Parts: sequence; structure tokens; C-alpha cells
Amino acid sequence: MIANLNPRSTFDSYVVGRENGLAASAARAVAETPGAAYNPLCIVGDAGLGKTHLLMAIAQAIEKADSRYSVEYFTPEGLSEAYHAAVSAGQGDAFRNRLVDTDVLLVDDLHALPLQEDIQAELVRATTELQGAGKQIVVASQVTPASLEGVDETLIERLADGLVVAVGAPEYETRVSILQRRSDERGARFTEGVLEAVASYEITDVRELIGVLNRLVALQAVSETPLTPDAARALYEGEVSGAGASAGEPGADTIDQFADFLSGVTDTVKRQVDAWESRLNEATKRWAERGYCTDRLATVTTTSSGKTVDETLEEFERDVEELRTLRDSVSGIDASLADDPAFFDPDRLVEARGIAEKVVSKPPALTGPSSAWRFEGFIGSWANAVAVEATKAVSAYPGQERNPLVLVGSTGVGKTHLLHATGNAIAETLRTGVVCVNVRELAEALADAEAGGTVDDLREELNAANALLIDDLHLAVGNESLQKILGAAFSRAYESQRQIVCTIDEDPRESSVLDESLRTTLMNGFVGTLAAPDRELRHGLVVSMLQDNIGAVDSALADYLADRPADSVREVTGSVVRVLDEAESRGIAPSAALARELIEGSVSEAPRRTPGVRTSGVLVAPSSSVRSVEKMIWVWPDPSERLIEELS
Amino acid sequence: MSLVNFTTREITCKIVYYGPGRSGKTCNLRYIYGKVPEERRGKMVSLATEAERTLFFDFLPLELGTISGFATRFQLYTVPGQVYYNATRKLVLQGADGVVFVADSQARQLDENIESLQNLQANLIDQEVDIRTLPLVLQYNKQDLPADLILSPHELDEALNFRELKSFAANALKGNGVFETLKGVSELVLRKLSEETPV
Repeated sequence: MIANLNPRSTFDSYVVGRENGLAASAARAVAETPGAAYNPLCIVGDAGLGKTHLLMAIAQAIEKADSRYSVEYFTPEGLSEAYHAAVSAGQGDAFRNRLVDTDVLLVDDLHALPLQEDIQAELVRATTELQGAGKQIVVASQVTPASLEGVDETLIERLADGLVVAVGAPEYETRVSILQRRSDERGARFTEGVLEAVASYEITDVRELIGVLNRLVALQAVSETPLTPDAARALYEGEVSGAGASAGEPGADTIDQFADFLSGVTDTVKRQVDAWESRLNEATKRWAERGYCTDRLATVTTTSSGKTVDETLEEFERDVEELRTLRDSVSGIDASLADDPAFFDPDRLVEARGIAEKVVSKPPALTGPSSAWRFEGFIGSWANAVAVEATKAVSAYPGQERNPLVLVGSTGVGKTHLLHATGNAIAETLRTGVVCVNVRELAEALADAEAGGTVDDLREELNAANALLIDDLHLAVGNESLQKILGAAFSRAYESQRQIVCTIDEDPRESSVLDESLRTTLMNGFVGTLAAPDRELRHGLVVSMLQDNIGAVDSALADYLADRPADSVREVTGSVVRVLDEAESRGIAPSAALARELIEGSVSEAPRRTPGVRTSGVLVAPSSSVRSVEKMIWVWPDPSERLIEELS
Repeated sequence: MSLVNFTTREITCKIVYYGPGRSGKTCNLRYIYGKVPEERRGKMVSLATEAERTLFFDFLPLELGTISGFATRFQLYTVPGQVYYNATRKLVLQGADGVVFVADSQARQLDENIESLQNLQANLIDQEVDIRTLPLVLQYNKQDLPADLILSPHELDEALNFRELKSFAANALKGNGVFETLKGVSELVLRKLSEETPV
């Protein structure tokens, strides 16, 4: 919510009569379709007739309907303050951008616009750009655009081009409705005829009308009997006649002085309490939208902290800033921990500090899934349909279905990609404790732990994981101690319904080399096979790579490459890279003819490069946390070829 | 003193009527006491000498009821104006949220008014309160006296109102300007709520 809006100024609380019906209707239309209905909209009327109320109602209705809309509301003083603050801070551009980047610009009391040319020039520039971009402009003024004095002609012309609607002084029926509505809001009840008696006076300023009502409320609060219409008339007439009495004249006792005093105090306290609530609500909404727990702000007025509202808000923002820093330090080491709820709750700052300290001082041996691999980048086909379906089921209900899940396939068919994608999806559900690691890394961690005497810590880390995802399990064969630790960890995870997913190059049911405890646990699960890429997968892969690398797809080239049989995804990506490299070195567009010539013909190949291309078809960012060297090489070179290169 | 207590949902304002002896401070409180409905006021405590001079201080608690969810009460105090009661004045002034300086409009009392105003400033400095930040209004009392005996509000403004404070002409005996003054200082005090209120 914009900070300087009165939350009570909404369309629901705006009393509509004949004299302001058109303005209210236009304002509603603007709020429902900003930029489309009447643009600009100029609301004209004397002071105290509800122009500001309509502007604030528009702003709040738009924000409520779609919080993505950016709305700026300015009074002339606010505009001037914002401008001077920006200029004195050397950020004139920021002020300009603030005006231009908004979706809805509302300027109140335009007739009081500062005469400073710079500010007017900014406003003219902003209205020009906003109108050109179909963004909504609404202004309120006590005079029509044509009668505005000292305001830039361009601005006047622009406003006159839009809809100019007037709000008139409230008539008797409207005055009764306003008094009735405000009495209801304040929970005040009057005997019949009291409000009508007040409304019968030609009070044209709504603020004055509310002022009289405030006095009625205060008077009734201190009276033993309900107010009568005559007493209400006496109150108003007494005020009017007493207004000119000088202090020196005795006996100005025609009105209840205490009630008047009480009414003034009530108004002031109410304004202050509204201001606190408005600031707290605005801050609560802002931080909640960014995912932070705002319980502290919600309870600020019911607990005694000894701090002012501003101090409380500043402290909250400081704590959030520290949480961000702590989270950043943790996410660089263990991304899965960065989603811990403690990093989003300023009231759990101490806990967040503890987590960060623990992680930073003793980083976990085991990592989480790499964010480079997600389901979105995985190309599915009949060759891997069963495995993909199983991983998605596991992601939705970790530990409950298909546990353990074993992904079986030969090298380069996308098992690792699918494993990490599953790990990322599970992390979105479980948030913390998702271990996704290659057996090579695990073996290294075990060797380090054995050397450092911290095997128990490693074991504890495995046992504490909420989900265990192990890549290339077959590489554990021959490492007895690793198989035993994994067997125990799998067994405990299975018993406590924590998800296990692993990749392996052969069906564990047919394996004769896996440790018995590992094999037993895996045999209770579900096996999803990834076969060699079929034509559909190959075609999808080629199209994706061409699109990513050159932003266009030659269908003949895609068909040619997809038609070539391949045992692995690596083979397909290798072919695409070779064609792209050759095309680049020759300075021509890659084509089917070039591919045919390169793959089947006599053209000598350009020296191979080893780009960061992942074998499953996605480009791996250099910052990816994958450690396996084997996995970073897009195709294994023929040793004899390498030997010849080195000899030459 | 805390103006607002969010835990108990209370707003309590302490307002002190300050000024030279016989300027009409107690008179202000008596008039207010007489106009406030019985259920809204506490007992007015007044310690006076036989000659009706305030010996210690006057105290009038006002219960304004619940406003926007806050039980709101005002505590009005006067200080003894006589020079030799400065220790008492300091004591009463402690924790004041707002001050009404009641000046005697009689021309011959001008020096006493100035001396009392200086005394107010000195006592506030002793309590490490900046008079420029304290909600303060001036009341020019006894404006009902014959014109040749008194200074006009404009003349008093020239002599006393060095910060363009709000000032009110008054006749506290009859009540003119009494509630206007109270309302004036109350607004200043309550406006400071959002700046200084602990929650």
C-alpha cells in the first residue's frame, strides 16, 4: 500500500449523490481499467468535497485488484519534497524514473502545484511518456485545467484533452447519507431526526459536516440523555454564533466546551493511530510479499518493546538485512539450507545465525542438487518416459511412492540430469536436508573422513538427510566401506520413509557385485529405465541446442542429425557441436549439407574444443557445483587420436 | 513518562500549567473541573494557603474515554508561582508532555511573566529538556480587565512569544479561552505521539 494513503478512503466509504455521481462513476471506471477508460481524468471541485477521497479510492482499488500495478500518489508538497530530496542526493534521474515507471500517476490539488519550473517540466515529461505508454493519469484540482494559473501550458492542454468531471457541494440527501455513514463507522447511534436536523443546514464542506458530527458524538458521549434534534440544532447554531466571540467577552458558554475539547482530542488521537497503523500495514505487506514472516510487525501494538514505531520498523529492516547476508553465506556452501524458514523470520535471527555459523565453520561433506539441472531442461521421449514419470511422482510425494527409485541406463542417457532435477523438485517440498551426490564425491569425502577421523560425522550426515540421491552407484563397487555406509544409510532412510533415488548402469536385481544390504534395499523399490535416445529425443535435443546456440532451427539439419542413430545423448550433442564449430570456423550457417559433409564426407575436422556442454543436452554454467570431472567432458576422445595430436 | 502504552492500550498526557504567582493557573483548572461531567473527572487535589495561594500544586485527572481503542486520560497540574517554591516547580515539571504558560496580562506584571518564563526554561534545561521541542502554548489571562491596565495579546506576543508559539487570550474566571488553550496544547502533545511513542 502507498504509505500516504488513508486506508479508509475507498469507493465503499464514498457517499455518492447527484452532485458527485459522474465523478464517482468515472473514477470507478478508471480503477477497473487503468489507462483505458478516461485518460487523463481530471476531478474538479471546491475544497472538502471528496476529491482526495476519490483519488485515494482509485489508488487503493487498483492495488487491491492487482498488486503488480505500480501506483504513485502525490500532493504538491509531496511532489516538491520528493523532487528536492532526489536532486539534493544527486539522483534526479531516480525521481524522473519514479514518475515515468509508474502505471498510475495521481496528483492531488494540482491548483497548488509549486511554480518551480523544474518540477513542472518533470511532470510534463512524465505525463507525456505515461500517456504515450497507455498509463493512467488522474489529477484533482479546485479549478478546471483551463483556469489553472502558473501551470505549464502543455500540461493544461494535456489535461483538457481528457475527461474533466466536477464534484459539487452535497445536497440535503447526500448530507444525510454522509452523516449516517460516518455515524455507523464510529458506532454512534442518534435518535431519529438528529442527523436530519444537522443536514438541513447548508453545510457545503464535507469536512465541516464531519466536524459537526464529531461534536455530536462527543456531546452524546457526555450527556446522560440521548441528544434531541433541537439540541443538535442548538449545538450547530451555537458554534456558528460563538465562532466570532472574542476571548475578552464573558460567558461564551453556548456550546459544551468539554464536548468540543473531547471532539478535538478524539480527532487528533484517531489521526495518529491511523498513521501508525498505515505505516505498519504498509511495511507488513511489503515484507510479506518478499517472503518474510511479519509476525513481529503484526503484534507490535500488543506487546511492549519500549521502541517507537519507526525504531521497530528500522530494527525489523536491519534484521531482515542480516538474514539476507546470512542466507547468502549459507547458500554458497549448501543451497538446500538457504530455504530454511529461519532465514525468512526476523524473530528467528538467533537460530539463523546458529545455522550459518555451523555451516560456515564446518561445511557439510555432502552437497545438494545442482541448480543447473531441472525438469524444464530435460527432454523426454518414449525412451525415458517411465523413468521421468516415476521421478515426477517421487518429487510430488517424496518418501511415499516408488521408494527407493532406481534410474537405470548406460552412460550418457541423462540419468544425472534427471537425478538432480528430482533433487531440486524434492527440495522445493522438503526445503532442507536433500543430499544429491556422486559416488566419486562420496568416496572422496569418505577418504577425507577416514583420514580426519570424522567418519561418524559423515555417517550422521547421511542418516540425517531428508532425501538421499546418489549418482553412479555402480562406481561404489570395490569400495567395501563405502558400500557398507551407504547400505546402512539406505536401510535407515527406507525404514523411516525418507526418499532414496539413485542412478546405476545395470538393474540392481541382476547385479552380482553390489553389497547385499544395498541390493536388498534397492530391490524393494521401483526401477525406471532410460534407454538409448530414440528419434523423438534426438530431434528434441538437436532443436533445443540449435535454438540455444544460433537462435534458429534449420529443419533439414535437425532432421538429418536426428535421423542418425546414437547410443547416448552425448553422441547427439557431440554431433551438433561439431557442426556448429565447423560452420563457425568457415563463417557459414550450419546446414544439413555441411553436417552430411562433416559426418559422412571427406572434410577435415577443425580441432575439437571442450566446451562446458553437459552430456544430457543442457549447457552447464561454469559455476555449477558438479565436481565429477568425467561429467564435464562432452565426449571422450579416442586415445589414439590424442596421441597423434600430441606427437605432431 | 510514556505517553502511550500499547500493552495496556492507554494514552496518558501530563500537562503542566506554569506561570507567575496569581496569574490564574488554578483558576484554569477550576473552570475545567466545573465543565467536565462528573464521571469524566477525578477528584481535584488542591493544596492552598489560607490566602488561596497554591502551596504545593493542583492536580486534576480527566478520563476522556476510549479513543481508537486507547483509554485516554489527561493529568492537569499547576505549579506554585511564588519564587521560593522552585523545588516544587521542578518536581511537578518532571515528565511533562506539554506546558501551558499562563501569563498575567496586567502591564505591571510583565517583569514577573518574563522572570517566570526564564525560570521555566532554566528548570527544563536542568531536566535536559529542550524548550524548543516541548509542546508549549501561551495563555494571556485577565484580558477582561480594563484596557488601560493590561497589555494586548499583540503586545504580550512581542514581549514573550519568542518562538511564534500558539497564544490564547483568556479570562479564566469566566472561562473564555480556557478550553481553547487546553485544546491547543493537547493537539501539540498528541501530534508528537507518532514521533516519540514507544510501542
